[in-house]
Formats: sequence, C-alpha cells, structure tokens
Amino acid sequence: VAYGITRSEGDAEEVVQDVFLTLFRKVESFEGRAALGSWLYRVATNAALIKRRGKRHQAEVKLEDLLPQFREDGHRDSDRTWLLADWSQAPDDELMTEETCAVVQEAIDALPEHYRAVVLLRDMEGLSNEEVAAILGESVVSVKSRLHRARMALRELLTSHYASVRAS
Amino acid sequence: VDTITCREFIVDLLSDYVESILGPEAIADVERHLAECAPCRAYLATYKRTVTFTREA
Repeated sequence: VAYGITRSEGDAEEVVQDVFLTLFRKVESFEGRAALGSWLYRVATNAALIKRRGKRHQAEVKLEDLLPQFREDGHRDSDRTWLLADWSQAPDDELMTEETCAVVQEAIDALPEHYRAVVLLRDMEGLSNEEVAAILGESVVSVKSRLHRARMALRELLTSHYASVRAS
Repeated sequence: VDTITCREFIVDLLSDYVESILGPEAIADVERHLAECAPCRAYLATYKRTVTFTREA
C-alpha cells in the first residue's frame, strides 16, 4: 500500500517504519487482531498520502476528461468507433503484456491521490468497500462512487493504449 | 422496450451490476438495455477486463 501510493521505495520504507514505530508505542491499546489490521492499513494509507502530497513528481490526470460522454437524451452515439474500441475479446496474451502492465501502473499512478488510494485498497489489496471506507474515514457510498469513476478512467486510458497499439 | 439510457446504465448501475448487488428489477432493466445496445455491451466487457487487469498488474 505504501509503495502503491508513494511510488518510491525509500518513501514507502519510511512510511512503514513510522507505522511500526507508532504501533510499537501503542500496541497495548489494541484489543484484537482485526482492529490492528485495519488500523495498520489506515495509518499506512494516510502516512503515504501525506508523503506523496509533498513530493508529487507526475502530473495527475483530470478524471473528468476520462469519463464517458453522453448525448442530451442520455444515450451514446452508436457509431463504429465504439465497436472498434472493444478490445475485450482479444486473447489475454495479446492484452496482458509487460507493456500493458506498465500502462496500467502508470495510469493508476496518474489518478488523483484519493482515487488511487481507493483503487489500491479495493482492487489491488482486495479489501471490501466497508473496510476501505473505515480506513479512509469516508462513507461506503463515497468509496463506491470514487472506485467506479477511477475504473472508468482506467478503462479509458487502456482503450487509448490499445487503439494506439492497433494503429502502429 | 428499453427502459434505461446509456448514462443510467454506465453511471448509475454498471458498478453494482458488475458486483452482482443489483436487485432483480434493475438487473432486468440492465439486461434489456444491453440486449439492444452494442456500445454498452462493449463498455461493460472492457470495464470488467480493466478491473481484472488492475488486480493483476
């Protein structure tokens, strides 16, 4: 989690050291392992977000630019570009290349930080909406909404990537 | 008859549809829409694979 957010091994190590120092000081106040697990996630996520905020190397994408557009009647234009943009039927070995992994990773890195934290905790760490909400101190509705917007943005970035691969 | 728009499907229902937490009426609405809308079928398929890739990346 710390590395996923900070994208720096040195920063992630510092975050983890700080988290465990805090844990060492407060360990007697924990009642059970479940509470300790979510506390570790919460402290590590927040510490990593703070560290990243001070050292942002990469421009974050504007999420709104990557969300789907609709006509006034709420439908989408059903021109051929939609069907050409459907890369879902291509075989895994064609899609899931090292290059694609790097593209996905870069796309996640480029998300605004609170969106990235939700994707990391929910899709990469496999936590539930409720667990992520508790860690980030937000409502489940807010976590679900941000996760969906982040996934739509990532889908758009992958679609652009495959379109450029096909064109080349 | 299609009862929902592409916007309602993608913005409001897609996420819960993928997580299998929609009620039966909403599922019926979504599936009716998908049967008639190729762009939304493509969107759903690429959205699902995006989630899979994120988990594996």
